Amino acid sequence: MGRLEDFLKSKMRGPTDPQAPEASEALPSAGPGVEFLWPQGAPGALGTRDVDRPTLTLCLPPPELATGAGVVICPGGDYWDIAGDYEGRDVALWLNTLGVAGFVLKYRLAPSYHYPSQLQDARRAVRLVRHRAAEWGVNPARVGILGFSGGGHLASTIATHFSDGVPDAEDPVDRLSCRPDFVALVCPVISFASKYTHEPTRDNLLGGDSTKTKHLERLSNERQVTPATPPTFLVHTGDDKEVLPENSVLFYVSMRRMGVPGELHIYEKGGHGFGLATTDPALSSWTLRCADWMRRRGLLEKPG
Amino acid sequence: MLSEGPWGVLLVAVVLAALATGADAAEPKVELLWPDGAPGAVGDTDADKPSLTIWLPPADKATGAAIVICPGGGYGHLAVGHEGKDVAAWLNSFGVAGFMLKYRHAPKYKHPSPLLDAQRAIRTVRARAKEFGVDPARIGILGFSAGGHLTSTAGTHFDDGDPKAKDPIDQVSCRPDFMVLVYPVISLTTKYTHGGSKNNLLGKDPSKELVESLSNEKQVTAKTPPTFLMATSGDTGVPAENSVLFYMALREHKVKAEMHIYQNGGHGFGLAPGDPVLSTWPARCEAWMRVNGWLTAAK
Repeated sequence: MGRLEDFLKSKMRGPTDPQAPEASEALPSAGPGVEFLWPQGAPGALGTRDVDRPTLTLCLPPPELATGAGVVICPGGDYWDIAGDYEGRDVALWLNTLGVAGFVLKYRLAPSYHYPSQLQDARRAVRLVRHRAAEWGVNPARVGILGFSGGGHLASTIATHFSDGVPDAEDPVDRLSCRPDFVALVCPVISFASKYTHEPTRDNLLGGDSTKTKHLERLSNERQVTPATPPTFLVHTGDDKEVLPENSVLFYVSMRRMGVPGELHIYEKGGHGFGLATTDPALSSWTLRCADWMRRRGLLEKPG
Repeated sequence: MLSEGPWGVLLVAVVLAALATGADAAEPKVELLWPDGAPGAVGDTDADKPSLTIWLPPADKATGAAIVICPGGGYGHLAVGHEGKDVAAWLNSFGVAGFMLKYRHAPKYKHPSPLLDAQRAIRTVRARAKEFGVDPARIGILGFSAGGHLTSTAGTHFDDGDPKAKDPIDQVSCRPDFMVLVYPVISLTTKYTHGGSKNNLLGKDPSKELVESLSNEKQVTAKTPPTFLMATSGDTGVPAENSVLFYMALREHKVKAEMHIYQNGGHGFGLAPGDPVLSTWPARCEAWMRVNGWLTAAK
């Protein structure tokens, strides 16, 4: 049995599997600080369970620290699961220390949902933060997106597949642009069409016989970078055996070609799914580099 | 041509080195790589006499690790201050011995003189490791810009030494145990090459084979030593693609590596002491050396 099959076997759990996630404990399905992206139901929703209702969990900085920057956080999980704690809540709390508002996105997942549901969710999230910017103390011109692993694929997808709003849309949220103002990608899946792809992420997003799908090229995001792609910060590790660091390198090279500003850090060690890497004395510096980068880009300047 | 005897020249070299280091630092020792004259030397001046300027860490701090430092300067001069002496002081601060290499360069010297000098430098440190308090298995090489080209050349063009050689230095290997490349020139065959360094190293009409053999992203093998790369997206002189190409080649051959490409920053900033963001790279490099166990004192 090949590597792909091994992966699929380990990843593909049926919907009746008791381990199949309904909701992450770190991301409550409703309550204070939890916003439904579409209170009336998401487009293409298959039901009204938690997994059918994408949300944003708000984590706002203390007002005296707030810089006006906001970040939509896409935890990883191969489009099958959501690591809502160490790639979600913990990240929001770290961003809060910088005066940045964190909005953890619970996006729709396989096996129930495939492309483009996830992209719709991410786009809606950026639009929603912009729409309610004043209420949440955010500057609508400083809304970024940050994603880990599979969530990094989602973040790099919106970075290369954003759209202006529809000016005469009925829903005022849909009238706004969903282009992120900046992007941070942590051990991201980027490539679908090259040999560096991460098969579980690709197959969960596309479903079916994904190597033949017409979306393969379109969602191989290193091939979709344009000069309009937002400035991007990338971090990866050289010993990441799941998502190869070439994913980040290829994206960086495309950014260079298109004149998109950015930064790339590949640490030698650290594996995959390290989150903030708080216990690793070397790798934990990535959050400092990311904060420096945001500061240099003027994203952390306080208003007034 | 100056007709000074060897002692006169050595004295000049020592005085110059002392001036360069300033009054506050201990006077470093300067050693000629070939006391009897370098192979292919065309004169008897300083420019013809490649040397090592040696800064050893305090004995209570010494880890046994050593680094040969290759300052940059487009193969036309050497930035011995911020890409030499300052680097040695930083290395000493965490117990690493610094050996600044003054290698031969244009206009008097072309390839292979700089490579011969770098190889000789590594062999010298290794052959005399005991005397320097160095572990012969933890000798790295670090270079900036064109010095990074020289470093990456030494890391992709080495030999085990000649056990039958008369000179004991020639008997030992010149393979570096690790490499640090800072805004390096790597490629000589792509559009990312730094024309000035290439011309100074190879002259006007080098053969295609020669250019290829020194376009170091094409010379990586599984034996290339572990490598740390640092560059900036804002470098317009030596584009960051040089580092990226080398990194990708290292990946292909499964050589361990780390690469940090900062967004802001130009070229030739050395340790970047005036830049609060960029000046974090030396700490990243030190952490990388620690992670790999090169800073653990031999028991």
